[in-house]
Amino acid sequence: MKVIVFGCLAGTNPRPGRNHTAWALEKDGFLHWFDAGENCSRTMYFMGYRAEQIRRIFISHFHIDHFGGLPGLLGTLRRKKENLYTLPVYTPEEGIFPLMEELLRRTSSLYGGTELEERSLHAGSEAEMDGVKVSWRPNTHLAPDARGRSRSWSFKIEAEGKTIVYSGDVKSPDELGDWLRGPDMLLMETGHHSAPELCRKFKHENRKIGKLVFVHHGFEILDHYEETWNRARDIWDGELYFAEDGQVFEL
Amino acid sequence: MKIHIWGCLSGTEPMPGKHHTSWALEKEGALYWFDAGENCSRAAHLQGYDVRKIRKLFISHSHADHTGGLFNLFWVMCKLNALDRRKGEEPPQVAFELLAPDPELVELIKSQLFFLSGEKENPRIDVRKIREGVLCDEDGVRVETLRNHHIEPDARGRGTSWSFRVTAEGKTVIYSGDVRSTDDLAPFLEQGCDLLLMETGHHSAPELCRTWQERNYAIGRVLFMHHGREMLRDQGEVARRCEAIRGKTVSIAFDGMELEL
Repeated sequence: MKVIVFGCLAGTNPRPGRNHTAWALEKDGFLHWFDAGENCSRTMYFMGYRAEQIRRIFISHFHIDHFGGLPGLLGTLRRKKENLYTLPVYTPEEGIFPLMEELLRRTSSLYGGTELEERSLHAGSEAEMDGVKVSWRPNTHLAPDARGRSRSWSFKIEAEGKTIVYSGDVKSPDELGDWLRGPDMLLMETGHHSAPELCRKFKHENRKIGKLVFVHHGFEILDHYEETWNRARDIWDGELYFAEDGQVFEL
Repeated sequence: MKIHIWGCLSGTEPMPGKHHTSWALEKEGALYWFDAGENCSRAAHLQGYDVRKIRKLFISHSHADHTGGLFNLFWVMCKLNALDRRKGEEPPQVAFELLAPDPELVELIKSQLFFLSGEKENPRIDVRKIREGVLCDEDGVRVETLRNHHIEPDARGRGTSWSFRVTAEGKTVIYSGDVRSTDDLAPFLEQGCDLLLMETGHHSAPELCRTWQERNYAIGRVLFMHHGREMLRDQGEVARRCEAIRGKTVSIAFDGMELEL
């Protein structure tokens, strides 16, 4: 079982060697995909994966740095003409998925192929497939919609006795609540938070986190990488990573 | 005056170092931008260009390898504005016209994007439907269109595809967009040009060179782009065969290429 990072950048200005946020859990040759920043399908291709390995897609929220590559990714899938299947796409708020479908219809004469099925994150709180259980809970990165419904989400993934927590974008790590009690891996966004400060907080709270992987890098890591790394490293004694595009973690 | 290639790949399988099609003519700091494949704004930004300097944006047709970067292009504009404000600077007011065969597609992208980013008025993008003839003639840049047969319109007139001729500072550049055949471009090619940006996603580059030679077209220089399987297989061999016909007046585009005009 692997966690594959296709893109590790937040929505800052563009940076060399880094693309917007996208990652997947690979288990038994299938991909359970989270977020889809620009260029994610291309990175996937060069890492030796194919779109038809994707079993389902979860989008944490509809900011471009988390879904700007979704049309490209879905478009790649829709070009398939054989071994078709229905791909569930879990969406964080209403109204955008139809836009995606319309976009695909208008941008490809090859529209057809694998069916996409929208599943709203509002409609439940977990979904299991092929031995991978994904749970989600709302966070307050985005203000709720006009009906008071959440528009941004965090995820917990359980498979083969391991637990992975993915923050999505959060206003505070406290929004992850009891999910921080001993995950094997925490994929934590640093686009809106200081990595050393997070390390200090987690240490102070005596969090037992197997692999602490910072993703969705913002200015602190991008502009002051070494200094930030050294500060975080001095605080956090456990396994610590600043994710890179193309990085693969064995679990 | 320069040509910038942001992306030179067609919608075949991905190719290392190459992204979907997008390029721009730079004149006096303004960018006349053609097509917007995925990664175009990132490429331009990383090459040192401010995407907010777009004066006009032309979309040849709506296929994803020509429009997949629009989302991020608009987003990067919004982000750069936000970064200016973060530094205590007032961002420039960005306003430009976007001419596309399917304005509804662009409006769909635009409306969602500005809702998501919180930007309402900057950038201000005026989306218009492409029409036959002269699309723009201002600040010394003239852009004309030619309808081609890469895709045929549906019953509602959607799905048209276009080629372009750009004239500036006494030079003429033809951009094929995607075409069914070089015959689609004949009305432009018969009048000659200094530079032809020609797609090879659907054509063999050496065969095109041979056809143009037989027809005696006065094409100063050819830049093949929008590369397809022929180039993917063996770009060096394609270049050798083209040079055998056209000599050194033929080049093969790469991402990040700059061409002085």
